[in-house]
Amino acid sequence: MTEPLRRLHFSMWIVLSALLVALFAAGLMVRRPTMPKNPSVSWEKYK
Amino acid sequence: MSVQYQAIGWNRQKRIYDSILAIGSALYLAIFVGAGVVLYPTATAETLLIRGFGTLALVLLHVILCIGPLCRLDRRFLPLLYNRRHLGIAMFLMALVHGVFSMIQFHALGDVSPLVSLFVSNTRFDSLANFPFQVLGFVALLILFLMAATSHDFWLHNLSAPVWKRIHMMVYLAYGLLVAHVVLGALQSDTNAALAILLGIGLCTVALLHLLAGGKERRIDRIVAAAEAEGFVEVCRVEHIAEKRAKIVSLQGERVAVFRYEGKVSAVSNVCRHQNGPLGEGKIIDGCITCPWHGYQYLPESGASPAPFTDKVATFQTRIVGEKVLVHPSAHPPGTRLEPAVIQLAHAGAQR
Repeated sequence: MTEPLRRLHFSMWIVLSALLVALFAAGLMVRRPTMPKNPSVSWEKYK
Repeated sequence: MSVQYQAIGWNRQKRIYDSILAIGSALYLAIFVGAGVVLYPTATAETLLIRGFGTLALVLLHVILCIGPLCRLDRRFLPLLYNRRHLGIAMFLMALVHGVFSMIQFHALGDVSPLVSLFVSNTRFDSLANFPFQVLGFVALLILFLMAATSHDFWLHNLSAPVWKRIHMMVYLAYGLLVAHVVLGALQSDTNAALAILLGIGLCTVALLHLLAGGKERRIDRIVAAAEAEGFVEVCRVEHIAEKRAKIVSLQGERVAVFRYEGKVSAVSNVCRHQNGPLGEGKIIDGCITCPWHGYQYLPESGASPAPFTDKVATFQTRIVGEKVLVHPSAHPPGTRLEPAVIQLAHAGAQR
């Protein structure tokens, strides 16, 4: 790789790393529960 | 005149590389589907195949993205780089199977075209949890197709190296889209933490390796720039000089022979004092540069002939930064002893 391309590559990875880690964390935080919320039902009983 | 291209220049190494790739992929799919049948008995064969091919493509993409920085951090990984293009095409094919099966399973049974369905069935672009993640995967697949289609040397030569490189750097965009595709898709509906943990480890590994390799090269570039500011000129890489041989370079109109020997690099004038023979075309014998014409000898560090002879040639200061060899173009008076540049251990063994 030429020097300008190396610099571009490094800068790109600084931005990409920050973006992807943030996206990964945000994705985990908004992860929805797969069981519907119904506090009055103890679904384990019906397994 | 014409240039002839072969579809694939097969050789033993490529066959071994591809065999390992094919066997590894088949094993992965067999284990994934087998374990899926046991752990998720209600899952359909289509679902298991979609997940199997999807995760295999993702694993291969992580491996591909790790190879480049690993090679820049440690030369021992270079054999992995040798056939990376085949790895890339295999990864695209796995991703394509995943994409086609998904289109059939989720979009082919409606009353609109599967492609239209892909874009209109979910338009919740404002929601992270319900984001139309399949669109991200589709765009990534288009990029991977463009890369696979232009991976052959024919395109490298016809598009020119800078254009080709720019196209193939789009793999980072594709990687970002695929991470988003998985995070906003499979991770949102899967209760199993394994996928999240593995993706997190993969993402951190790829990012860390690229940052470490980029940082290392940046440091080297800075040292080279500082040396160039002092007047040094980058002439070649260490591995381009064979052991006990020289590379001849032209510096400010004068030919200089840069010799590599015993883990060191020294530079002397290329012109023998006897009959102007090309010293750089000779080799080091018994620790002395030996002219190929009449065997006149000079010590590489000082350019002086061993006693009792008194012939001397000019010497040049050398430096090694990373894998780069730098030489200062100012000639020192004939016979001036200069400290040779020392090659780091990993490079010293490369040519032996």
